Amino acid sequence: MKRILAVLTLAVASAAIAAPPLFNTPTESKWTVTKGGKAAGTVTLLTGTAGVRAEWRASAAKSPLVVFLGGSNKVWVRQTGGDVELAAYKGGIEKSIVPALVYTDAAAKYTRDAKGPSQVEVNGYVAKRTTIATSKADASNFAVRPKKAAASRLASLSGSLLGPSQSSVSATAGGRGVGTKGLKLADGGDYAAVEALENRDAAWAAKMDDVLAEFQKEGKVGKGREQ
Amino acid sequence: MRTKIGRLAAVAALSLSVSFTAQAQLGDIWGKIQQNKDKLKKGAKVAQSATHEFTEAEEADIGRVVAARVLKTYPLSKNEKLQQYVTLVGNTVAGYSARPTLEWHFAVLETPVVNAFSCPGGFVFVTTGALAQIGSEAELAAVLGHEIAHATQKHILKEVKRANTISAGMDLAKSTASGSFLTEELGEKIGNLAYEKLFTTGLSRRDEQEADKIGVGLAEDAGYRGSAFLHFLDALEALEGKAEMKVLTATHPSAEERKGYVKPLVGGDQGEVLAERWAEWTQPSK
Repeated sequence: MKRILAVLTLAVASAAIAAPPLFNTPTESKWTVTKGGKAAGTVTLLTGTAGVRAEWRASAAKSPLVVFLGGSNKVWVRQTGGDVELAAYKGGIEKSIVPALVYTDAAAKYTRDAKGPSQVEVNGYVAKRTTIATSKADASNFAVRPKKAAASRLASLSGSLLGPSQSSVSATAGGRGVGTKGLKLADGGDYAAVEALENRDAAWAAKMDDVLAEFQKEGKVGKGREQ
Repeated sequence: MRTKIGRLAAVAALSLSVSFTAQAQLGDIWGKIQQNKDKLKKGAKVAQSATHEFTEAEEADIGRVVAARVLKTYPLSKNEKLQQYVTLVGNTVAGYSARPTLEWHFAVLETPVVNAFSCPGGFVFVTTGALAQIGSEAELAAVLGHEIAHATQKHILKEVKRANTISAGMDLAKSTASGSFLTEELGEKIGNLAYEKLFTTGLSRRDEQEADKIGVGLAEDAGYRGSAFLHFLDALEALEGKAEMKVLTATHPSAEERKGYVKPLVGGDQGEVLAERWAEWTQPSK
């Protein structure tokens, strides 16, 4: 059973790694996206030896350009301050269709012609290729610049930002700088919980200044506005 | 002779009677003096209680007592990510308060009850029920700002003073076996009073209004959009009458009243809302 699971895991992992871009040569293609016959947006797709770049613009007036990048078998989305992985990107309908143009997607249906994929159907959207030409786009178009490690860590929200709570640490190790350390009265209160909270914050204290600075900078709040 | 003796006896009796009366009168006077002295002592102690400025150490000890009561009522949430997020937002806002160096502790309580609590000394709690009604980091910042304001304005401590809790059982100069100025008896009295204020009767409307006004100002000073607080109050208004709102309704002015005095204070579209970051931090872990 374990062996079957291991083989399956390997197969899934291989499939993920093997997901190729739509075109293996440097191309620039334009696509129109519709849903139920209604225009949803357009995509300009650049493929090259250095990676894949898809620029999405929704049909609605004044819609901003959203840039998707393919690199290291992952789909990234360009945002202020750097690129974030697709999972961390909220986005709109583009999240449903553009990734299937960056890398082939097992859930999408591809129709091909002599030049390669000409139509992609996924999540109820239909993307049709309108033009395709050889591209001379240089490598800088495909460079992925992940947001700074700390910011990415904040975005990934693992819950280990400040380290785990160490409620078992003695109150005297952290405790309060003022007041009576370890004060416990037989007055019906839950002092063990108070101690756990104080120790948690004592354990977090070492990293707090750095993490808080990064948190504020990312959100442009607090002192982060001045940086 | 008999007459002389009788006279002498009468005089003696009279002087004895005068003496007893005088003594009795003196006794009365003495008693009254004693009573007045006791009254004066008591009055002095009450006056001491009413005017006593708590040291930061005393405030911290009282805070611990009150926090222990709150945590006896609702447990800490085990959602580490949420605890960290609330701590980061709380510390961001507290940095702009009148007491940025207070030893702040921000924590999430696991209960569907919609509420947030502030204890003396910097303990601030918000329930998962309240967080469920929040839609952005700016709203959370204003909610925490409200609680931070209660702590910086020492609203609970004011109630402790007002109730003369201290005069009933403490000598401020005397230290107990625990090392704190708080005796078991006094701790229980303060705990009971704080519990009553936080969970039953509430603080004064004036204090709540002050906390709203200062709180939304702190959130704005920290760079958040103050008007986001109005969205939170809208959510509270929509929930009025529901069981999870019972304590909040009993202890705070109505959402409509609060919106009335908060609205003129908030600065339009300035400041960060951070709804996306809120969603990212509060969505369940995969």
